[in-house]
Amino acid sequence: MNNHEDIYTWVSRYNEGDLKGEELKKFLQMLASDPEIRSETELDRELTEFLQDRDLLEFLKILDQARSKKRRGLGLNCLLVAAMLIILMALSGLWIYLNPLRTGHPMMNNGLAVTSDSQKSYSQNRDPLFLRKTLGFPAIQFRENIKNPDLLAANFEPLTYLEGMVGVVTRASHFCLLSPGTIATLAPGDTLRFNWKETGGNHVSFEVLNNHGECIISQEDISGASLTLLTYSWQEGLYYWKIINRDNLVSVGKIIIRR
Amino acid sequence: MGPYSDAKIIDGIINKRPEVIHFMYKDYFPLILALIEKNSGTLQDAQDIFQEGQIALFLRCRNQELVLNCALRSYFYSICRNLWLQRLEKKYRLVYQPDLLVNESEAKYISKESITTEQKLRRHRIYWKHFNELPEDCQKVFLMYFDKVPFKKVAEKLKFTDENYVKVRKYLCKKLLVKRIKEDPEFLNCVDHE
Repeated sequence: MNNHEDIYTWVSRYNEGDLKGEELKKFLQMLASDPEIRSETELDRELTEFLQDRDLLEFLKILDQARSKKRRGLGLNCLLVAAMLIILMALSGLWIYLNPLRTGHPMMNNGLAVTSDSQKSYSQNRDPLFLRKTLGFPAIQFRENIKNPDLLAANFEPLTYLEGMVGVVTRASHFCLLSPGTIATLAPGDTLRFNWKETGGNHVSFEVLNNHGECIISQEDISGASLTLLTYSWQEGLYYWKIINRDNLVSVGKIIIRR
Repeated sequence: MGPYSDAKIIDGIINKRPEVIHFMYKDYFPLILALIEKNSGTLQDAQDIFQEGQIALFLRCRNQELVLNCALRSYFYSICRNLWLQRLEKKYRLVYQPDLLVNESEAKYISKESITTEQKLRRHRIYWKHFNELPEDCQKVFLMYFDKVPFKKVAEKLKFTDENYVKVRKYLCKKLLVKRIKEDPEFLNCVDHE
């Protein structure tokens, strides 16, 4: 036994009980004196035992399968999440496109007046914004295209010239606002009902502006005494409403939309 | 999949039922991952310890050495905890932080019990890793050889020229396996034979 090849062969044969007679005797002597051969023999013995343990090998194979299945599962989950994100982004894009308050609906871009007769078809156009008249409701007019502020914080910055007028009632001898208060805090989607008393027989006009001073709702010649404002398409932010009676600004208030 | 009672899991381990092993992986692994990550380990460490824990559990179930005085989940947790503890002490010299979310005192596993040691379990895992990476014919030669299939039949099944080639192939495969194992840096850390 002169080289490593021979030693390995003898180690293997020894562990498999294949070494006999003089060879065995010689090997045992070397085993007793050489630590390297001892460790080689120990490794081979343990490895042989391991390879003989068919039960354990089968078990380990199943463990590997479970482990890789888990990895595959994680991979699939990642793909699923990515797909869902893409769908969500696509839907968001669609929603933003259709939402007049955020991007300017084609109808708004055209400055199209939406009459009460066309209100139904407007709703059918999936535009969520409309002013519902409860008593006498001649027209709702959408004006300019509305900018979409990039930052939410910017939506809450007060509009200086209207802020000072909030709560001030002027030239309102024939007009009295019964509700709401001058400041209303709502969650997106809440409704706000306006009730007033007009004793001079005049119609009133109603406007809602965002905090950039852009008119988002305009309703003229309201003959009734109430209207309901639906806010479910509004972005979070600060809005101002104005009521005009006999060409005079009679009441100003603000609406805070916050989640 | 699942949930399985402890008895069903033990039965599934003994009988190597894939669905039970998959269930264990799904149900128990997050617990072990949290334990390892909390104690300076990585995902890879957690996977290794989890696999070693399962080998330990399998051996104890098979050898009828399993005496369960608590929930299997707690028992398995404590096996993995002890395996990780031994590795931490040996390699990293770090102090173990118990996981307060798990009632560790419930686990009756004691490391001094006659359980296969952490090092031996690690070696088993390493042996398996390299065995699994061997060429397919090598794996088959070993399996048939240790199943006492005659060399002549092995040669026929594997389409080798003759039985002498089977012997040569077996010799070369084992040599390759030993070489790969000995070159594995992880193996060098666990050759301190007990």
